[in-house]
Amino acid sequence: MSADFESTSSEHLSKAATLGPLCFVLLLVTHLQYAYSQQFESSVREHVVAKPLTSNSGHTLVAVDKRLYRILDGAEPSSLVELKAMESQQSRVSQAIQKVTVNVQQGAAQGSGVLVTPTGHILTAAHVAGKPGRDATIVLYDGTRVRAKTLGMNRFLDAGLLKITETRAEPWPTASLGLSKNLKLGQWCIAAGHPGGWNKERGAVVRVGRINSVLQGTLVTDCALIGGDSGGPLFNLEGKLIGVHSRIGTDIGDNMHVPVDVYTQYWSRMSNGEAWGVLPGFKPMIGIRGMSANDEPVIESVIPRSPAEKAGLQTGDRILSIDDKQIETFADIQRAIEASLPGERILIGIERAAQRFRLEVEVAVDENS
Amino acid sequence: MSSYVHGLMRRNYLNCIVGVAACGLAIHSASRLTVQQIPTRPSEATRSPTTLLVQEPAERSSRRPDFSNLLRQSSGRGNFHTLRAFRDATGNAWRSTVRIMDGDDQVAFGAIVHGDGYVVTKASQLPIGRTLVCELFDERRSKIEPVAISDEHDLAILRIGYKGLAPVDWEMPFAPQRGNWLATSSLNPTPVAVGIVSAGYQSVPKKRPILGVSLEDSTMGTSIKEVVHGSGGDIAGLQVGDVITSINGKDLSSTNAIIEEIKSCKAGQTIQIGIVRGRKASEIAARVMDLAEELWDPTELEVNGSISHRSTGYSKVFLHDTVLLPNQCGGPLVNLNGKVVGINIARAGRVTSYAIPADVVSSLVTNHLKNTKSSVVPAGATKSSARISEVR
Repeated sequence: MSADFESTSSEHLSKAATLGPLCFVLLLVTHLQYAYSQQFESSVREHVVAKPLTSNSGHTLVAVDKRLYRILDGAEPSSLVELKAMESQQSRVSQAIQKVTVNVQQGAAQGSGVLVTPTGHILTAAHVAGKPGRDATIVLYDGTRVRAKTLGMNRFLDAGLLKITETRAEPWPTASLGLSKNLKLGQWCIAAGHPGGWNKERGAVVRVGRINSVLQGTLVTDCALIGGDSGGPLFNLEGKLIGVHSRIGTDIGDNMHVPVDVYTQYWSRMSNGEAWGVLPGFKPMIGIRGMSANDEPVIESVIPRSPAEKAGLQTGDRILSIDDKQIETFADIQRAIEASLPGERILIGIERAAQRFRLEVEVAVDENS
Repeated sequence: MSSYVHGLMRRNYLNCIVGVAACGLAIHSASRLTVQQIPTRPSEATRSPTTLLVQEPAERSSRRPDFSNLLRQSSGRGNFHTLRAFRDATGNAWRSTVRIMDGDDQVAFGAIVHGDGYVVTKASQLPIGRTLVCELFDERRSKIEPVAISDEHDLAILRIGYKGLAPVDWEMPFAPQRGNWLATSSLNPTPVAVGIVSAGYQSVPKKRPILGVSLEDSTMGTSIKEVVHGSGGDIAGLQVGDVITSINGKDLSSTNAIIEEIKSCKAGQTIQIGIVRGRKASEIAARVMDLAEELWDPTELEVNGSISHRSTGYSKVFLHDTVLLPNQCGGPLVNLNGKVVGINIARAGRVTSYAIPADVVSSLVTNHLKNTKSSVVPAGATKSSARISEVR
């Protein structure tokens, strides 16, 4: 076959065609949603004492012109005077946030992040960080590359954390922290990030918008976001960090951000490298079922057209390992899959008819999540 | 990677509601529950990036792609009150803004660059072989005479049949500063849209034009194997299985010849494609686009909204976040002092519009008018009409 455009895109399309029928039931673990919601509720109630992130410090705070008080409350500008005051504020904030907005490269993916501690903690999205303990590369505003490790993440809310592992004499520049709990509808904000990935000629791209809704665990703004922005910072007009970019809807006004309070609330768990939860709607699955009676890591059935079937997994296969992690029970399999990300390729070690071998499976999204 | 959502759409849409609600989140309207993980890009020549998706139901995604360029929220950044505040700011730029019309359809905005009736606009927005009309702010209308086209900058210089017009007041030199307001002027004092400078000057490498179909050799000849949803080929109605027999009247038998012929077109150009569908031969007109590779994907095209047919191959542009439709490009981009800082040259994606800076446009126009002064003929004369010369 030859193509008018390059073959990767037709691969995309053929994948779409073959995976199309996947919309029927595909489950690795059924009905975990309820359990997750329970866990979520309890973690929301929990109050984490440790709060190393402090407000009123940081390098992005910009003194507010008193002509802007009305605007800061979420009003529209109504005069040239207000527009000029906003412009001056916006350009000073846009300038100040350049040095704390970074590009995050982890494995095959690129996202954005924001420096928040002088020792090099970087807030990002959980789906950018991936898993705890991974190596990542941070590209600073001037193109300098530094090494980092991923720490913990709250996948329920898509909040992730990294820390620069290289030491340097002077402290890292940091974003001034705001609060996301008192945000008002209509408040103006500025989004920064590296859409499409790092581009030296361009640097961090800024966008202006307003808060359209404040939900538990999510802010929605009309600061337009696209691939590569994930993990980038959302600031208010004072230059205080109020959120981190997470996901989008089709409509250009549907841009979701993790509220910054989520990071302060779960700081101790995340900075200790703990990872938990799945992002609603993005639960990973490969499409195998286990024996309900016992917990043996033996496949009872493989769901038709699932990633497991395509990779060649069969009923009766005993799973020995997933990516170098030893598997002893079916619950181990569940945990390993939950810790993976849709789109990721995992190596599954199998015993079949006294033979041992490994198969690569591409994790998909459980459409029932 | 992301393309697999196509088949997952409906179920995911419904399940997303369940999933989100079960986790204690409430979203105020079901129609807004189209959540998509922002796909990330591969760093180098590594494998495909991880993208996680929940998408909307298939029946809604067949809508016109430009629909998603429109902001729904009345409390949004570009609402009427905010736009109205810009009336004082944008000075007289609106009197120097024109609209290029093809019948009742707006093709592009344009900017009056010389009092003697010279207008610039986005060249690749102009359909070939149509009678276009230029509308002024005072409702006067005029035929258009093409004067020159700069392929490098995607700008066309046009002449209209009026003199004594007010040209735009250029801001020169313009130093784009992130965060500064920009208004896209219309034919009345309220701008059509506003945004801010997102990033400074840069060049955008040229991508080759594509039709958005993949081809395969079949017993019938060269047939269409796949069509990218939202591409020029899709909009024109090309279907899987159609056999392509000719392009622009040229009979082409081999797949390679067809690919070469499409490659030789210019982005934005409409081509006539001879096809055989079933047993019937027919011709279909389709526009080629210079879409970047990462957008060769239905989901990407959907979240990016409607993109200009030509959105690449610019030597000097600056980036802004104004949400524009492709047919709102070509006109003046104004700062808070009422000065024109550039011409909107492309809608390039969900987060980006490009503008060509004032100095580039101004010197292009000045040079052209200086060089052709002797040969400039009065408007309405036939000598120069339909003659388009390339300018550097």
